Amino acid sequence: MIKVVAGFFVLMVMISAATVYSLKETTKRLEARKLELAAKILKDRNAIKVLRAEMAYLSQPDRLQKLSDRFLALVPSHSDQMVASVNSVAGRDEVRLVSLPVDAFPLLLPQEKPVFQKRRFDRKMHLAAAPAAPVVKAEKVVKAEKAETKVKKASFYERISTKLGGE
Amino acid sequence: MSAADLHIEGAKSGAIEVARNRVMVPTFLFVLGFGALVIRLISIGMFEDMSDKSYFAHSASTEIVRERGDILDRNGVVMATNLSAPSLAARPRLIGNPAETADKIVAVLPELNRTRVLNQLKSSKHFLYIKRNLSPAQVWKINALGEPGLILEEAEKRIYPQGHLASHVLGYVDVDNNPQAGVEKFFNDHLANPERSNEPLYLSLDTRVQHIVRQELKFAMDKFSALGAAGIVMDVRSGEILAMTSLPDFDGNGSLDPGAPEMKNRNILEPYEMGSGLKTFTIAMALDSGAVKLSDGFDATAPLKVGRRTIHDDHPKKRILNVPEIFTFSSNIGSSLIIREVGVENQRNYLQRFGMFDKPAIELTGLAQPILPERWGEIQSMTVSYGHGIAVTPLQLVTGISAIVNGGRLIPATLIRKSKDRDGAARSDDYQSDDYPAFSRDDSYQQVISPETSRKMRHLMRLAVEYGSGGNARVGGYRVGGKTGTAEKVKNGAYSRKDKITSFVGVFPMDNPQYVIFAMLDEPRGTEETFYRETGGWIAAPVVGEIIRRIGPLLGVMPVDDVATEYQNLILVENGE
Repeated sequence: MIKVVAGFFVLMVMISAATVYSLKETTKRLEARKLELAAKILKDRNAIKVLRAEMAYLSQPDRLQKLSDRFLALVPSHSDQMVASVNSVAGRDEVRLVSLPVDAFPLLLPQEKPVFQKRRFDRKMHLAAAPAAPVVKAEKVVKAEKAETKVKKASFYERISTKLGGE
Repeated sequence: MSAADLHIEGAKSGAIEVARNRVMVPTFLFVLGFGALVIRLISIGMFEDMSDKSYFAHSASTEIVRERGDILDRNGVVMATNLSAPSLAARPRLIGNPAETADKIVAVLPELNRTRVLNQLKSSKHFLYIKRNLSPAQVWKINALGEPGLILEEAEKRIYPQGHLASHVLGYVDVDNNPQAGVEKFFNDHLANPERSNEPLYLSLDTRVQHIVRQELKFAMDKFSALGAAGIVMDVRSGEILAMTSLPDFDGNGSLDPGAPEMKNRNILEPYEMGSGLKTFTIAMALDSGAVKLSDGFDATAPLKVGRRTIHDDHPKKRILNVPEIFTFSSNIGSSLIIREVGVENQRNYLQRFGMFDKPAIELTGLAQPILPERWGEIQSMTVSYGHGIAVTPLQLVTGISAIVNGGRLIPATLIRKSKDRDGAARSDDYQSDDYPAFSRDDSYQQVISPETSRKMRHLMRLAVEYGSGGNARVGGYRVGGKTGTAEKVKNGAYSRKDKITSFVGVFPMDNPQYVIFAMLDEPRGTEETFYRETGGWIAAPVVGEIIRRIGPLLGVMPVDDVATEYQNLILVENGE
């Protein structure tokens, strides 16, 4: 019995010794790997630093503007394109937002006819390195619509008169 | 045979006993030996110290340490960085075939002279430099040559990826990376500290705004054949400088001559007579001290004779003008009469509070003292009231104007990004408030004029753009206010009729001021477009207008519909105004 117990303990001691040894070897290997990785990270960080500098160099605003002028059909945004309130886009003084409680789609409820005020900054001297965005003239659209309706009315009258004349 | 035959007895049994004992001895020795090994194994594993190459002790660093830290703009765009730029050196004695090696080197570095490289490689020296500061691509190619006689020596180079942009703010470093000017010099303690190598310095500049200001100023400078130009964009609520340009400028990457004219930052280094821009302060102090009411009239029918001097108006109205009219039509006579009401002592006190008597407060080196009158008599007080006889730097003017429009608090200008905390008050993580006046707490800013005076001044500045000399600064959608300034330059001890300093200081949006924009041109020449006039209204105001038109949407300032300005009824508008 004593022999068995003693043998068991000897075995345990040997196994644990072997485990500790292998654990230590593994740690060593991991440490070596860690060093390797750290060196790699350092190298990558250096590369990132270079790339960031290069990106800043390539995205110089001056250069981007030249490229954009040449290859893109985009112009800088204009203050007219920004909407501070619903009223300014509707061209009406009074606009009410209505929405039913069940849905989340607010509707614009016009209270009067739109009046597009003429901008009073037109006679200003223009001095600019970069051209302004073309301002979309809302009045012209309105006028064109009016002209169209007139044409339609005229043709309707004509049709009536020709009909009457035909009889 | 039976089993009994196997039984050993007698003398034979003694021999077996001996054999067993003999086996026991080596067994014992083996156990002893292996036991020792096991004990040693356990002791190595558990108690022995790690060897000298102890891996736990110095765990490898993954942080790059550079000689100087980076400088970024407020959005994190790199404005200055240190890159590794090794130098190419050679040990000529190790080079077997100098001619072939020289060919290879010149193929990689085409800017080198082949004959010179060949002579260097043939020389009898042990070690010599061929070229400094190689780019990463060149380093790779040189390494690929595989020539043992060529050596790459580790070195760093300061790079300014944005080139000319903001060169005056950033400053520059010499060949040995010692700072020579600008932010580089002022914040050298931070930038050159190896422990803070990975803490970039965030400036308050915005690369985009800086570009727009520089481009518009350059365009105007070329158009009006001006000698130089300067521009500033400042946030009136925090004192942050979003853009600061001085033209002509330089590229920090190139070779620099410290004495060259383009090295001078006109915004801080040179005081100018600002002309009518100073009338803003005159009117503000008159209203704030209560010496003058808005509706008070002053007689500007004829030029004013004081002692031996006569004060003229540039745009004579030849009638009695009230205070808004004096400001809007920029009447020298009017502002002289107003300052007579305020008094010399009061004027000096107010100008001192606006910081006109000290150097400008900002994180840059080489700041200029303002030039003040030697003695303050009545006549000096009057000329100062319309901006002559006193020369201040553009930055001081901008700081003062921002105090006038932001509710009367003088916030020192700063080049360091302030982070906004939950209350919206500006503060900085990096710097103690004791070191930098700009980072003092919100309530500790000096109140130079009352909020009510500030409100009145905002309306007056709006009127000056709406009806007065600053009309060319109008921008659709934004309510711009401002004041023009035109001053004749002193040449050979006398005022020159031809050479002028034209400036415009604009504020937008006027109902809730956010930014002050300043533009100045040095000795512009009028063109057909400006009817050959060289005044601030024709030269500098359109520049500010264009800058606002472009940066307004960029900075997210919402346009507003036109709202009637107060005191409009006080102004009698004549034709052509």
